[in-house]
Amino acid sequence: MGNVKISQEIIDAINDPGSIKVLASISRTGELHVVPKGTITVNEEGNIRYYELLEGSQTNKNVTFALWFGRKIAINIITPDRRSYQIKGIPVKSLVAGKEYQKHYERAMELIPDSDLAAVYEIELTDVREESYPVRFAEEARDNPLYIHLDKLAGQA
Amino acid sequence: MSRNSENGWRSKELPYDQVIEKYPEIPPIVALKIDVSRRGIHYTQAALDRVDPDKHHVEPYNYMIGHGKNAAPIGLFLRDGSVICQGDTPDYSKAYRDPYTLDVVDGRLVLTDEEIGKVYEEVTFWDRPDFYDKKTSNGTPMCLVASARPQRITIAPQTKCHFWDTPGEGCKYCALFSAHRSKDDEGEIRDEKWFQDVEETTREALKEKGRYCSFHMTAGSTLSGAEIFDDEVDLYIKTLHAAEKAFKTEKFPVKLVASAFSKKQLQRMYDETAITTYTTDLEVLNPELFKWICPGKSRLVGYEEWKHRLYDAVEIFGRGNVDCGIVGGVETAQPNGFADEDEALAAVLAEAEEMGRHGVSFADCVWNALPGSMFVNQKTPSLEYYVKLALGLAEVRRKNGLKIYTDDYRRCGNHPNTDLARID
Repeated sequence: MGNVKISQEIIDAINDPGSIKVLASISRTGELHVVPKGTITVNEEGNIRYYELLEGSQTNKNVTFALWFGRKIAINIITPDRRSYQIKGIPVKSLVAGKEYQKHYERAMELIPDSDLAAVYEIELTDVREESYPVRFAEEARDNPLYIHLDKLAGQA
Repeated sequence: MSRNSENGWRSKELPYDQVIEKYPEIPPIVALKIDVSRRGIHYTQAALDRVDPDKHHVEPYNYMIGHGKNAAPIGLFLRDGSVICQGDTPDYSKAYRDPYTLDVVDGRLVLTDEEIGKVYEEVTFWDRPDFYDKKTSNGTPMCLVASARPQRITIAPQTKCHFWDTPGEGCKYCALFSAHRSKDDEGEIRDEKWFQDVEETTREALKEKGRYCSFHMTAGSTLSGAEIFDDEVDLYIKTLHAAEKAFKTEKFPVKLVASAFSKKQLQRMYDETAITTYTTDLEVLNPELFKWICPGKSRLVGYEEWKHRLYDAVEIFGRGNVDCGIVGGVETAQPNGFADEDEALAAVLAEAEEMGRHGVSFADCVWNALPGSMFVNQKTPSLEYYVKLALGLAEVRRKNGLKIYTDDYRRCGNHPNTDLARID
């Protein structure tokens, strides 16, 4: 199971309603599925919490599949100022009923009045990295300096 | 010495850890649920001390069985949101296998196997329905009108199963409503006051936001009427009409588990009530064993006619909205059942495949030799058998393009094969 902690900067990015959040998962037959999920946040324990609003959705099936078999899912967060973070984790808990679920059910209706909350997933983090281009460009230059077109290295005539 | 400590059952079958290794396609948590359902659960004092009757769902008696006993939890949540529909087994000395243990370890409520000394999963108790504390305007405690699982409300309009009226004709595995088996006992009285209680209890239950996804009705069979089951149909219709007053839509998710009604009776129920899905239980998918295990059903309806009525129901409710409940594993009951588990599985799945082609889905209950049933001293099959049965039935459903709705992991929760539909 994961126990990776995330910085306050990333927590703020995830909890920012203006951020775009995309969740990638794999079905039981190995099909990829990538969809926006605006209801991804960070809970009090520093784990990802995500409200699944569609019971019959492919993501709901895939995240349950990941929970059952200890598989990872991936999330990408793009902030309003174009920073990008990739987070991977393993779903460890699904709430579909009970008093705790019912609190989230009412919270979901505050966010989206017609919603009918299907599940609340808790995802323990295994990997976190920034994917913003300037950050990745600097990492690439540091880690793989030979991956470069020679014209970029051409001297003055 | 108890029966299970003498018979050496652990050395005769694959344990849980080896079963999930051998069958990597079964989710370990579903296999655990099957094994717990098969073996039962014993609560330690530490676990019982965790029960808060003001917060947790405890029942002063078992609503579906009716024997008086102390208030105790009737089920548990697993961390995938699925449920185990079993309470404490205080005395398991006569059971073939010893049960799992519900204990408190490192402050967490967990399922363990005491002999192996291993903690398997953290669990939580179900929450108490809000309506349990209320009374109807007639003064009836609402917890006597309806019961609940975490996401379904259950009404049992009839607490007597009349197949028991003829000695020896009740289903041999069944403990439901076993408090009302004598010929003179008519079960609970359902007068006009009771129907009013149903309306008020349903209305009160719906005030709890986010709690219920399904309205469930089941009862013992009533054989009387111009046609067999006519009076049972009348009672369900009247009960549903009472509950319908609490809803603003004509149709809502209703799970009815009832006798095998004729096409005319089913059409009437579909046309006159909110009902959306229908389950009728053939129980054991083998005509000869049906005759032995369900003698009343066999004599008064018959295996082929029961099946035919399921097919008729598909014409009315649509493919995937009709389920056949089975008591998975009871086909191995002795002396007449299959002695070989592979032969039993092949026979059951072949029959399921034929019915699946006709649009019937399956709701597989794990057979547990319950006190109150005639099969109380039977030996139920191995975990490996139950896992293969759940996987096989899930494949039948997929192959025939069938959905599962009100018998699924959420609206019912008691069927391992339908839990598997969560990832289809």
